[in-house]
Amino acid sequence: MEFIIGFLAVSFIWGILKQLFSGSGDQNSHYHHEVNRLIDQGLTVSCTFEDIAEPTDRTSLFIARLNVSGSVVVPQDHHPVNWLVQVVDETEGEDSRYALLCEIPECADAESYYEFRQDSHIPYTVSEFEDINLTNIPLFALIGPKKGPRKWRIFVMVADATNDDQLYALGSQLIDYRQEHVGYTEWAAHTKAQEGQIAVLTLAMAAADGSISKRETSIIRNFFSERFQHLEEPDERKQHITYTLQSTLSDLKSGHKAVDFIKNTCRSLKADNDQTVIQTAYELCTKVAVADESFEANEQKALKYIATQLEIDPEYVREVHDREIRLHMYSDQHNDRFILLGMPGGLSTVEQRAWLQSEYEKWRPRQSHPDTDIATEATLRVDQIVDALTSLDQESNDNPADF
Amino acid sequence: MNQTPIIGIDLGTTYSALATINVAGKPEMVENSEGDKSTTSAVLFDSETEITVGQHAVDAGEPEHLERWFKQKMGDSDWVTNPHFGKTYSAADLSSMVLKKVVQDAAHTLGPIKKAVITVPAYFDEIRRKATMDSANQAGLEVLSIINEPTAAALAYATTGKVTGRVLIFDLGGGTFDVSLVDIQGEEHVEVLTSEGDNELGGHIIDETLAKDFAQQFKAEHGETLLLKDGKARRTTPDGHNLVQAAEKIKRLLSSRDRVVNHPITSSSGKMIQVSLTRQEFNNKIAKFIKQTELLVDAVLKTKEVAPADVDHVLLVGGSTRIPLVQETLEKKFNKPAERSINPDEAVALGAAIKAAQELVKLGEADLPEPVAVRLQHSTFTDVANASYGTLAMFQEYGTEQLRNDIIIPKNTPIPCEFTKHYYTIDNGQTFIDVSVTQGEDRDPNFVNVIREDKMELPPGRPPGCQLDFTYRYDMNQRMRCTVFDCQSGITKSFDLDLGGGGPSQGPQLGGDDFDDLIIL
Repeated sequence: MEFIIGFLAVSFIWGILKQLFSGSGDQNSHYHHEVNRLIDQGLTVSCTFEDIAEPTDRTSLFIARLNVSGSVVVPQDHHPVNWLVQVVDETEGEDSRYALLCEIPECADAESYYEFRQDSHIPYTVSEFEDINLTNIPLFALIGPKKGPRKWRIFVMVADATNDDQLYALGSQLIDYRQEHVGYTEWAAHTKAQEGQIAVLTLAMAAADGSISKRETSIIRNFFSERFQHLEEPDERKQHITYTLQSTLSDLKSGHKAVDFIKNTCRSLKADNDQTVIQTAYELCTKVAVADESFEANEQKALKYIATQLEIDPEYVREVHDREIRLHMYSDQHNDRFILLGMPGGLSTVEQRAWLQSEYEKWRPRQSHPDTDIATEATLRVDQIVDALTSLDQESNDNPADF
Repeated sequence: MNQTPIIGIDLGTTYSALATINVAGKPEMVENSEGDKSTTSAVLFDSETEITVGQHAVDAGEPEHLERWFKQKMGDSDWVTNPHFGKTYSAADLSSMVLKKVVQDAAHTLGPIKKAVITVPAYFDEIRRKATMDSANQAGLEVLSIINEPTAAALAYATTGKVTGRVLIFDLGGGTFDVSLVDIQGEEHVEVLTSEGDNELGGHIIDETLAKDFAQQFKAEHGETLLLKDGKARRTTPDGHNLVQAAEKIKRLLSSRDRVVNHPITSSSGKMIQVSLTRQEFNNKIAKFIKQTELLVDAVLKTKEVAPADVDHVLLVGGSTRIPLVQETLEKKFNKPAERSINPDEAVALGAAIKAAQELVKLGEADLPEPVAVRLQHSTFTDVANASYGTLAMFQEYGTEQLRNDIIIPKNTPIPCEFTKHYYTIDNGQTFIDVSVTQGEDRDPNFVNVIREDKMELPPGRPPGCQLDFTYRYDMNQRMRCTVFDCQSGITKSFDLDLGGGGPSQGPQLGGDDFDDLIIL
């Protein structure tokens, strides 16, 4: 990721490259008309690709190292110019080009479209360039109109420093790229589908203990009500969720198993691999699981299954559990305080002590939290932790060799 | 020179005490009007207009109008007493009554008292410190400085010249427990390295534990259920009062004796039990309590990566350190005897008086021999931030954007201090930011204390990525101030923490249960 820091450190000027292509205001055909008028002149563009992901990153992070060769003709020596880079999607042909959004604000214009701009001087009236590395394009952060295998064209331009319409050189390169993000023309449908998945998963979670209570449904309902609260036109999404919930409920009532819904939805969510949606769904499932102030064995199993299938970071899971699950919610079958506290299995006595000490350090300050619910839970946890440590001390005294 | 008495006050959970600096420049305790060096932190409402403060309030045997241990509720805006003759009182109100009594008693000896240094537990947060200052002001005192109790004790020990090096201060009082690691290089150099505290620990817990056992004995012997507190109002019952008083007495006896035999306790119905307890039995009952103190000591040592063998001295402060098991546990852990050369009940007040002398010397208002004044003037004293202070901002974590508590002033930073951290707007045309000042170490915002929330307006029409500098200043009184500077527009906004805050963030109010289906409204 060091690249990103270096990349962002490049001097940028924002927001005017698109003037070059000012044509249609329609996002779907953004730039298309004006770009078509341009014909490569003077510049040869080449790209090499590199995955800059760390071994710990979940996905690849491809960048394109952009090199330029060729000649530029300017009115005089030492002429001030701007180097401009733009990328468009032309999978559906040169007559149907789409601009690409960029998730990194520092690499985007005011409307969030990717652009690179760097001021410079051309040394002579006629200057030759040999393979200069102009910039690195963060392909992983670009979003085109659709997901999947795409054809993107990278334009490189040399424009007058005072007038972007005055182009002195132009080159382009077409690349094949597989867009992992959902495209912006697909967002609306995709969001609806994701919300449907959250609705099905959480309703199935509510049914995991054999019945669906009013408290559980109210949590689901409130979640979506809040989500849609600020939408300008929420009706379609509301209707979709209402239909999804009602049809899932109907299926559950008619004998479909909650566990099958959970399995299938996890499969879809995993295939989509949208961490925001996955985490939202998991947090909502946890809230639903403990809505009745009890955390039944089936609910525990279901949550564990979801976390495992969706490969949710265990630290995140722990954080959500700390927030949502109270010790008193565990059913009586788990009297073992080590399980109650969430201690991982298979630890040695020394590791158990270290784990308990770290839990103590986490929960002790929470005892003085102004929210009495949190403070009470923290006090209860500290109490359990001290009991656990005291029992370990006792075991060590009984079996000194273990200590 | 218009001389002001040099006053340090230990405003304790169970007892409060006042000390001054004598003409020789040495700290000494000042007796109250009853001739005691400490005053019980208790208030009895005798009538609508009369109150009694101190041990007499406890001894009066009217628990329904007696208030004790209210220090644990300092700064809690949701807590007030049960009504006493039609009026309720906050913990700050009650503390001001104790302070008034302590100061008025001392004034008989020292003359009018206007300024003082007040001590607070190291764990006290911004809101509790503010409440302490408010109660002092309510009692007619100008607060020269607020100082942490273990730090004050360190100052007192530093003046003895007998304690130097890396020192662990184990301060176990009636209602609070603090542990500090301090570097003492003589009277001239006292540097706090780290402080931790637990607002749930104190001798009072032991009293209540024993009292519950005695209630069980009553039940077993007489079939009588004695309630410690009124179940509805959580007010101490007469029986509860008696049981706790007896527990406190037995606890004290077992600090000097191996056993207590046939100690009589009478219920309000006139029935009696006789309690017998050996020290070993007592130790077993408080083992869990002792374990908790050990855990906090371990946390302190871990913070500074110090092994027990690297600690030169262990100092005992607070009345509960008289319990033999406390001393034995520490001696076993550190492999050296714990120091008690200064009375554990007095060390905090004595240190507070030294701090008051330092402050008044700076102001040129201390009537002290010149060599003493010069010495005080040249002494360096460094305390640390008692908690981390930060703000809420978005960060990339777990593969997504997460709202996080980002620490600006880390806990244990030497104070006074000032830190600036840069943040950036995230939206195109963003016209405001939510500013949250947090206290606490948790990354998860749900578990930190948001002590101030406000909005700051920004100029319109700007791209994302505009830099905002958050500057936090932390003063010697452990009070925090926050300023946000918009680098592009030059707009600055200060957030005065005295204005409010401290309560938990209020989420949106959820609707009722008035629905029967799953239609999203």
